[in-house]
Amino acid sequence: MDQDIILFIVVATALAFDFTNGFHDTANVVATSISTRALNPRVAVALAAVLNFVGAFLSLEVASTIANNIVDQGEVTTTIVFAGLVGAIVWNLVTWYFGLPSSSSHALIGGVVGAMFVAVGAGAIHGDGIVSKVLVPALVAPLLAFAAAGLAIVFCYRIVGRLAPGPVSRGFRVGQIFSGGLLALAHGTNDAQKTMGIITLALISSGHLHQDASVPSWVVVSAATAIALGTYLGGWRIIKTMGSRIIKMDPAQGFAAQGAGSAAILAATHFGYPLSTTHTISGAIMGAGAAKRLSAVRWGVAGNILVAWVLTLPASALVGGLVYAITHLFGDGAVGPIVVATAGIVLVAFIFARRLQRGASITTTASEAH
Amino acid sequence: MPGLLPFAEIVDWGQILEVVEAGLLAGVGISIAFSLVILGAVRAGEAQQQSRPAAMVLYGAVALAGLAVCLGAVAFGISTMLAK
Repeated sequence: MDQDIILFIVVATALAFDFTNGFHDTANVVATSISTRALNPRVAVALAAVLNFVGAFLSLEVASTIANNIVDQGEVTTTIVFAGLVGAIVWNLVTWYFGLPSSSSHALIGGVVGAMFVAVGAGAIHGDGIVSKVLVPALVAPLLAFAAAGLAIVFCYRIVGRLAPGPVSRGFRVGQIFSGGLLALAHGTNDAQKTMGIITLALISSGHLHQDASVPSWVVVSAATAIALGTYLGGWRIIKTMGSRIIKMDPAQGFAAQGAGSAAILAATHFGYPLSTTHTISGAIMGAGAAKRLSAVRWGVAGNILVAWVLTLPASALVGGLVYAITHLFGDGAVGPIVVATAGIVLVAFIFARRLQRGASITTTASEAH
Repeated sequence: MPGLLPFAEIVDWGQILEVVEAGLLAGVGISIAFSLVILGAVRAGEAQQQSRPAAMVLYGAVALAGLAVCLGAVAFGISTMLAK
């Protein structure tokens, strides 16, 4: 009975994480389209929500990586998964509160690894899987997106450089509707799967699925719905950071950044890498800016984002480990997760209310930047 | 601990290289193709205004070819994902 209660809490928490992932990452998907006025914010967010939902059904490779390659399935308990999820949610909310677009994916992996480390020890952590499937792609992805977007914008300017700027801008704005859509699709494909992988891991650890089982359909549908809802209700404060504080873009740069970002994410998803869309699109935005003029990129803001990236894995691991330790104080039953989940809901409601009160007019600010 | 294995042996560099190749090819290729769509469309419009039918057809064909490459690349990418 206790295991079923914990499993229920884990699934609810995982879907809540998926929601915050969409909420947190809306900026990655729509900021460039809004920044260049290719789409108005409401349409951009609605389009991103729909395409995130669709994208979640495209592949299950990343879900498989999360379920099989990060920690030892045989040692995982539902309480460990719960603690890891709480660690990731807390880190997501902290970075959202301060307007830093850090990686939800790495927060999730860090949270689970931290909880596992405290609960079982280093032996149950798949160090090789983390290095090969998480850390190396984490370094490669933004560099790839940076290079691809940089090269792309150089070619774009070469091809359309002698045309009148008006039609060119209008053309790339139309193109951004599609490149932004592709980016939303890529985001849903990669990010929704992380939650699917975590729920599958919890179902395996509670004995509801055998170790090699595939992701159940209800998990796919619920994860797709949660990320789409989160995206729709999106993170306006982070849109400001991504869309106007990193670089002021023209529509051609926006198109190049979105196209390069989508290509990198989709290519990585195909091989099951749980890539950070935040890392990738930030790299692409900076590449598109730096290729035009190095000084166009606000490197100070880019540096803040870099700090958030570096901190994400250890910080979320720390919180995940701490949450496991607190949960474990109440024993192995359902009491610990219930207490922590209740406290978490109260805290999140408080932070959310304060943030919404302070960050109401972000859309206007983003538009005024141009 | 497996994490202490040599770095080069742990990582599947062939797979990483494929991601880099695909990302560069698609990321740069789509932007080039869409730029050709804009170039072709704008020049075709100008040619039409100047009554130069041959140039209009030529630039129209460039625009259509660019559009076909963009749509084909997206379709190929999605079908590859679905096929796995």
